[in-house]
Amino acid sequence: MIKFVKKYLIFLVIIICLATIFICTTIGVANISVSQTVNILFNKITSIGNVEGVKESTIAIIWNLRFPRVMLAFLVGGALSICGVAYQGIFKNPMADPFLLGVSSGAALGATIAIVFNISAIFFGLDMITVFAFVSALLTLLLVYNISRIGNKVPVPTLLLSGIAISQFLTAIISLFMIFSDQMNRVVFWTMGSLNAKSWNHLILILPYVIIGFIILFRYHRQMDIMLLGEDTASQLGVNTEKLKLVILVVTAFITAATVSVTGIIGFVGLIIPHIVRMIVGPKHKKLYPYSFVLGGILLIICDTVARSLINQEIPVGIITAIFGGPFFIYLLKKRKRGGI
Amino acid sequence: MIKMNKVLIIITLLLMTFTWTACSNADNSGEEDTNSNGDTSVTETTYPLTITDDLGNEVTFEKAPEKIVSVSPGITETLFELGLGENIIGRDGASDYPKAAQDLEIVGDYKGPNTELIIDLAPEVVFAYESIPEDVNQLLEASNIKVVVFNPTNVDGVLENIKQVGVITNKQTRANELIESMSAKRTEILEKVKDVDQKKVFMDLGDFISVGPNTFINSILEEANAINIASDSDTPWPTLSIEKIIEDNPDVYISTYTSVEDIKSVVGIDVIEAYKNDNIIVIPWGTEEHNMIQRPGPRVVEGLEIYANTIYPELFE
Repeated sequence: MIKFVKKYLIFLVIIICLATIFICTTIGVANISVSQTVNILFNKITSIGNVEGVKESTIAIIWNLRFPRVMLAFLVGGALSICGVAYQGIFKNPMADPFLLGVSSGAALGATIAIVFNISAIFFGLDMITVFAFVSALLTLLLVYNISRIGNKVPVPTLLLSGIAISQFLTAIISLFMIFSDQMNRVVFWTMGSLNAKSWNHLILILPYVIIGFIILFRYHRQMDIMLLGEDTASQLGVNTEKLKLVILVVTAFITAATVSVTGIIGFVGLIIPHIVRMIVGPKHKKLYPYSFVLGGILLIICDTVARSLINQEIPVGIITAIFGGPFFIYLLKKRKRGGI
Repeated sequence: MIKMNKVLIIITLLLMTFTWTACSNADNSGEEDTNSNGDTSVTETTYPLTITDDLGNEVTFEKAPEKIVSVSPGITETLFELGLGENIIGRDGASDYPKAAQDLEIVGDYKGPNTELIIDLAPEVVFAYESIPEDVNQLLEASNIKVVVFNPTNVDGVLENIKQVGVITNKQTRANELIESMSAKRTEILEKVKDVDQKKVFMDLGDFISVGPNTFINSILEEANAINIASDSDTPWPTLSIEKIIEDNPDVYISTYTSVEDIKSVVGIDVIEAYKNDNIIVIPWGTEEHNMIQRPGPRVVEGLEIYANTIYPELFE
């Protein structure tokens, strides 16, 4: 049985993934029947079938809101997970998550400035909060990288420490802005992450970063495996570790900045998914990346579905990921300890 | 052991009796002063006066307070209306109306008044909203400064508050006049919207955060005879999912933050009635108009009129 599951694991995961996307698209606060949902989705994707007679608002809810939101959750969950894999590999630190170097605080500062100063303009169909968050996240990582650079090298401990320092510093500035503003709750909500009111344009915004980022990360999967032996050993074995670090940092910076600027800070996915996947498929990055992407996507779809349909108001999805993710992760850790693997 | 238990039971019973009597006393005194001072024929307050504020705390005044700090914009406006502007020696940062209020010293904001500044000013009484932190409250009371907390949840609550301020400060005649003129205008507006075809309203405080049940703005929307689509929420300040907004299909979309263009750019929003009929209205945050619609003070009826006019413009032509 286990052998069978292992052999066909990839198919199993894909089937679960498709099923999750479909089931979660049928769930929501608006009362729309499953058959209607199927009808609309089928019609929109294949342009076969007939949606005449269906209310305009029903079509809008399924095709312009719910389905893109589910797909966005998949993309964001996957993106955060592969960044988590890359960070945990390069830092050789099980606590690493995509927000380790302050990308979240950077994005939050940008968003806070846009919210507090009420900067309101539309930029290629995106609001200023997204644009500010994206730019500010990238600038933060640039700053952290430059602070940590000693000559041609970027030692990992320095990188971690300057990341933490900058991140704390930015958080303090955000708190300062919040104290002097009446928009405190909006800032707080932003930092808890949400996929509310996100649609195709947001999906299209982050899609290229995620696809290109995934391809580049995947190309370096062998070097990442060697990195697990330690930076010194890796460079003796011919890996250009400084270049590898730079590539990983730049790629993950763009992926996380893009996702965070759209959704706000969604914690925990990028931390736990790599660990869970490592328990299932082992430490090889060739398998870690694709499986983490799909499982991370599934997890965030489920969490977001809970966030939007549990009660008749939105719950920030970051809360859900932490509430479900935390105990589940602890359970896995305990179980693994007992099994002695 | 059994003896100990018995003693404990007796003590508990005694304590319960005491608290019960204390509570019922508080209730009685509250009723009493509405009887003695609530009557419009009585225009002079007799001191010492004991009032019960909106948090249920009893406050006793020996005489009409002459040095007042107001950390609630609505009460600041009320005090000016009652002709007590000169008695205010400190205000919160948001108390910016009438213009004369802006010259007063600021003692913090309504969420976190600066206790040091207030104690230094040595007022006899501090008027505050229920958002004042409990520890600030206790600190002030420990310094012999009386604190009266207001928590109006609807227009009636505001009128009650004005009456109470009038009683405390011995300005009952002026307070009654003010209440009468406000009530007259209110009746006029209620009369206009009474038989209208109810419209559904979505109130957006930014990022689809709306006003749920038991909030002041919800009560104003109800007075204006509109249906607040967020009134069935579980919390006072729910974030509505865009899916729910589209399903509820509001006729009017009132935002206090974003611009009309921002709202129109939200994907899917173009199917709601408010979008189709160009009924997306922005009342920018921080403007006079906005203060009127969210501030529980003497201008609340004007705020009500703004809402009624925004939702049912055809009635106010």
